[in-house]
Amino acid sequence: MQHRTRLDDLPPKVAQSETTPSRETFERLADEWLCERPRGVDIAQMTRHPAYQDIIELGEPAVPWILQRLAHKPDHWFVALSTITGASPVPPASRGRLGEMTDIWLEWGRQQGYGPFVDVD
Amino acid sequence: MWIEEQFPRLKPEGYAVTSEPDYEYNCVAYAAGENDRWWSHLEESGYYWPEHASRTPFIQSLVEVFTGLGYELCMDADAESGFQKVALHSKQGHWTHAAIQLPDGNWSSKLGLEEDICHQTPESLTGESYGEVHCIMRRRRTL
Repeated sequence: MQHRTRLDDLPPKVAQSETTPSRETFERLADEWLCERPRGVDIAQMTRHPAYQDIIELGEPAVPWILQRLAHKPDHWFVALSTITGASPVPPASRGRLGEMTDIWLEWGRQQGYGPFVDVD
Repeated sequence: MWIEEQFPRLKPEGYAVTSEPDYEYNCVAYAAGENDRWWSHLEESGYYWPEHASRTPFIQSLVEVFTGLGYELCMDADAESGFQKVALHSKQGHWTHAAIQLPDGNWSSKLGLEEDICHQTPESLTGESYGEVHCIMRRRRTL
């Protein structure tokens, strides 16, 4: 007997992973996170926001878009980058220093072939 | 103002904004005496977390951070001559915030990415965002 799996037969999250996320979806989620994340809280609480978690769910296709956002305006995209890629490129001496973390993650992105990153509005 | 919406006890108990918003540091760094980096157990993402503390979101890890800085658990948040105190907040077992006591007995906090404020008690920040005060710790002030 031949078994064939149709996307419609799968649970929503599995079906989602079978499709290629769109840039528009990422940009909408990123804007949503920046606008709606709770203020005054720490990074762990900020990144538990559903929009941030949805960005992580987008997986590897979102990495160059995240890096582009990081290049345009540094923010706390590091948890998404490390969760999606498994990379941890920031050496101990630079940990916690946001400017250095940004530069190091962008350089990591270039080395992985995700660059160049154009700073555009 | 967003601060009063986020922390509804502040307005009736009294507080003052003492800095502009600053992305460069967070509450744990500030309570530890730094204002140029973020301290977070999310070290794999590139944040700083002292080696002496376990890397977990649980409040015990934050207790370990300040234990390693010379603090010990103490009974209350009253000002004590010769001692520096910090208050550690948690929600559902996870650390959320650290505040430091000023020499005059008031408290000072960095609010995430936003401003520093001065507030009267650690409890002024309890509620939906930071949960409850988990413990107060103290160490002898250095001259």
